[in-house]
Amino acid sequence: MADAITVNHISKRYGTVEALCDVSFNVQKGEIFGLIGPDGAGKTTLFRILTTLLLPDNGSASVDSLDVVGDYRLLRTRIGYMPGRFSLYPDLSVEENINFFANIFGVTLEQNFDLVAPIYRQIEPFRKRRAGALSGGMKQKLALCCALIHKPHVLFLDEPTTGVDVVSRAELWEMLADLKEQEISILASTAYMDEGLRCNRVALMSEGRVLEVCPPPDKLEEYFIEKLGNG
Amino acid sequence: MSALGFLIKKEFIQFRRNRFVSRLVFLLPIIVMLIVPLVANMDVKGVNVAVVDMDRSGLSGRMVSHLEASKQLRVRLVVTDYRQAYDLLEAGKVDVIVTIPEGCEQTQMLGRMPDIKIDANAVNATKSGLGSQYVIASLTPLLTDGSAVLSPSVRYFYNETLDYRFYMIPAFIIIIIMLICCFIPALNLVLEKEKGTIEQINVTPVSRMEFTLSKLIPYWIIGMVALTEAILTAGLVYGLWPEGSLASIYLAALVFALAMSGFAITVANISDTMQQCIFVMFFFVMLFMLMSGLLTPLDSMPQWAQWLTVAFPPRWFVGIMRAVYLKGTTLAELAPDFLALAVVATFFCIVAIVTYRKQK
Repeated sequence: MADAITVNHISKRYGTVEALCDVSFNVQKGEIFGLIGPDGAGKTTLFRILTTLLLPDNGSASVDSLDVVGDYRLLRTRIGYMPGRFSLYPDLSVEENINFFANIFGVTLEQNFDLVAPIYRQIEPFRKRRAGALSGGMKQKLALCCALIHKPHVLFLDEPTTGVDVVSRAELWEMLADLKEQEISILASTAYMDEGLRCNRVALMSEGRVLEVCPPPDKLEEYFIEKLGNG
Repeated sequence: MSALGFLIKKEFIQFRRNRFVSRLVFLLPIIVMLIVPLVANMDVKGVNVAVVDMDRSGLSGRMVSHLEASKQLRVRLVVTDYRQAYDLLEAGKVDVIVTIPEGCEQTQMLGRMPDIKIDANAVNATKSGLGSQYVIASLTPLLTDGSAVLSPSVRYFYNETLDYRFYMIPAFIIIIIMLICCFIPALNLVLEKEKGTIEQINVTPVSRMEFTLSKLIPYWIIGMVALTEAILTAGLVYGLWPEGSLASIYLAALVFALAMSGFAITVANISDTMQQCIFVMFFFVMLFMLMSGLLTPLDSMPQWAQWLTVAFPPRWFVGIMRAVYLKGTTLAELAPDFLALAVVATFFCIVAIVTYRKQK
């Protein structure tokens, strides 16, 4: 079975800053894979390359067996991306946002309702409210709902829990665990070590490099700090 | 409905939801048409005149009363000393000095034209120019009375009363379309960048072309509504209805809107922030307004500047609008201008689509 995501020796620099340096790893199908690292580790750059928004300088990557550069058009129908910054239309209501994103992917809410139902039910009471007026946690749930509406094969979540309260964070990770059951592969980044424990495997990133790829060890934080010290 | 349809629908929802802008867009044409033609007016009224009467004769007395009778002139004082009048001119109290020389009546009785001197304060060139014309106009019948000298009779075509308003109304319509089809789509697009919403669109299968079009089509429609409002206001309030066919006005406006929005999208594509976008837009819109024959004639610009304006969409539209509005020129006669406008529009649209980069 082919991997959900394959990253081969990807490098990217912005002027003199090396954002990514020879990054390689694989994400298996139906896996929750975590990218763990401090701010500035290159997590967002990696996301933007894998979601076809940015071209790598060197190396190649494929998602769902499609090349991120050559097959970008087809790939965009197979992936869901939730950027770190809330990127839905704040002046559209919850319902209008969901319908809009469903429509431009050529689907309807009803078609994929099973997939988004657990998330949608939580935001349904606010469906007439403008997205800009939602709380942080609700915004993330709506964003997840919109990212899932076209039933993507691979889901990319860039720091989905930043700025979200503890309860909503836990809820969000439970939702991801449910999605995993539906055989959606997930790549999520986080700066919180405790969230790393909820992943099947994690990649420890620092200064544009992957230090190690492993199942999360019990004492992830200590392990990571020790790794950083060695590197 | 295709993805484009849904994108356009989204634009309209957002437009409606932004109460302030949507109301402003619909009120703008009416407000502009109601107020601006009344205030932006080149008519000169109340030119202040000082008469230096060195002749003190029956003729000079009649001349003063002729000047006083003129609607545009206001005779402030009649003196015999030029110095006194000059001081008033310097102080800005009078705009024009009419000097009637000594022996004026005698000269006229001998059948020659007396040498009347007119001095005008040309700080305000229009006022001094027109003011002297008014003086000449009011004195001519008196001085040429009975003599063989004929005053030339001038008839102004297309704008018989030489009403500056009629000349400017088509120009204001152009400015309105420029504001609606240029500023709003550009700011709208940059807003998507600033808010980050463009990221979310970029990971969808929506193509570059569809996204750009979805930003333009709504404003073409809104621009045409604004045009209709402006035409109706001009007609109902000032009685100025287009001489030519409405169809050619709408066709030209549509092509013009296409060109301006292509230009707007290009500016939006190269700007990352609202501030940048507004500044660049303003720069070009100012050039467009000053160099397209909107306010001053094209012919009075240096040759190189005239060549430059070939790429300015308003340059062609101004010509078409004035010709159709005031002269009733037909589409066939204006074919070269329409063609030029269409070429400029195509050019800007291609640039807009090329500069929209979905994948960097």
